[in-house]
Amino acid sequence: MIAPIRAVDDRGGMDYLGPEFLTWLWWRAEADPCFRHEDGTEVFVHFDEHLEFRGERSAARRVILRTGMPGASMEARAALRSGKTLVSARILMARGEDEVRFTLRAEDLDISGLRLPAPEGDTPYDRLVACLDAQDQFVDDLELCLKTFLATRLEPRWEEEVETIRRWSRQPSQDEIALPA
Amino acid sequence: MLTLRSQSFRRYRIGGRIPSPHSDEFYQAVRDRKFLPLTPSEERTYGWATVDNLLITDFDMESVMRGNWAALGLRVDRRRVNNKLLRAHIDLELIARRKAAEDAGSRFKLGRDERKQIREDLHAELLKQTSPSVDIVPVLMHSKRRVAHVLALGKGVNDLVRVHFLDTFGVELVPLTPWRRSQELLEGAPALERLDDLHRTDFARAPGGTDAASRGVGPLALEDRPRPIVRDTGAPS
Repeated sequence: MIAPIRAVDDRGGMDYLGPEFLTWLWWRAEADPCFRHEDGTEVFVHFDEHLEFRGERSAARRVILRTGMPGASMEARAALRSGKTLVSARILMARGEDEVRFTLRAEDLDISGLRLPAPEGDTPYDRLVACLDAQDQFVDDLELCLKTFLATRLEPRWEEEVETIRRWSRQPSQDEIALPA
Repeated sequence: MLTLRSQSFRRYRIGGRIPSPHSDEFYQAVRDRKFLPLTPSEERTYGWATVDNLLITDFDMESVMRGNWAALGLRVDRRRVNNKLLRAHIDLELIARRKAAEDAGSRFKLGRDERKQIREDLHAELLKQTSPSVDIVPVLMHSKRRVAHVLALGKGVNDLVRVHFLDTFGVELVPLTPWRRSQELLEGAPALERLDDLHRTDFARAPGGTDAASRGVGPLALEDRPRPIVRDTGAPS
């Protein structure tokens, strides 16, 4: 048996790139959830009921928020303010009437629990092929988000974007706004 | 039957040319690395089976092609002798030998090699009696786009798929991590050069300008500092 020839690091020493993408995507989904393909097709992103943050600088290294709308919680903002980034999140992505739900594990762009729309087709084979097409479309939509992130991340305007995210993290969450005075 | 309504997967770039799944070359390569059952002495074996039925290791276009994708299953059979069970059998064997020696009026003494041999014999015997655990990992591949999806996220199983894919086609599977996929998406663009110069972003810089990255693991933010435990004594403050 031949052992695989491995690169030193499949993440290129950039463990943080995926979590930065997901953290940015969380903010972007709150600020402007619409992404547009070149052909004008719109994709909407919404963060669903699972968020996992990690960070090395604060007393708690890992924070998991589940059920309800954790993205709108004060705990999520506090995690960001304490230097953590989002490493995993349950996301809802909508294109027209089609919705997919999935968990993105950001460090390796792993997809778990992807729920595709109910496929059409008369036979199991037809339905499987329809699922593969839907999976292609899902990957295209996710990569649209990644491309949009990269278009900012590698430009000088990234610093401005980060400053906007910092201001956002300091603003009261929807949770806090809704709390009685 | 493979269904994809709910799935987990890791994406890979196929790091070179593999034969078209419409060619005999493809099927020959897969057949050469098909699943073979465990031999009596093996603890693990793995190889390709059809994705719809893990007992079938005869491949043709009908059993492999799903639209534009080729679908194979990596079948992994494992069996392991339970250590506590092995230890118990060894103890019984030693007791039986001791008794036999005492009955024969001789002194019971076992050398290191004899003990090792007893252990190996019993292990081999128990291994034959142990049923294997059976797993199948679907692998979808698109030879034109040079993309593969492994429908499992465990590190061990992904490593095994990568090894077996390399053994089968002589080509590596390269995980499409954020860094690698970004490299691909930026190919030919001036921004590609900037990718390797990136530094970690600190989303937590305080309004006063204290950069948490420059703080490193230094002082904790006020809200993260351990707070003194205040016991409620019931006394008015």
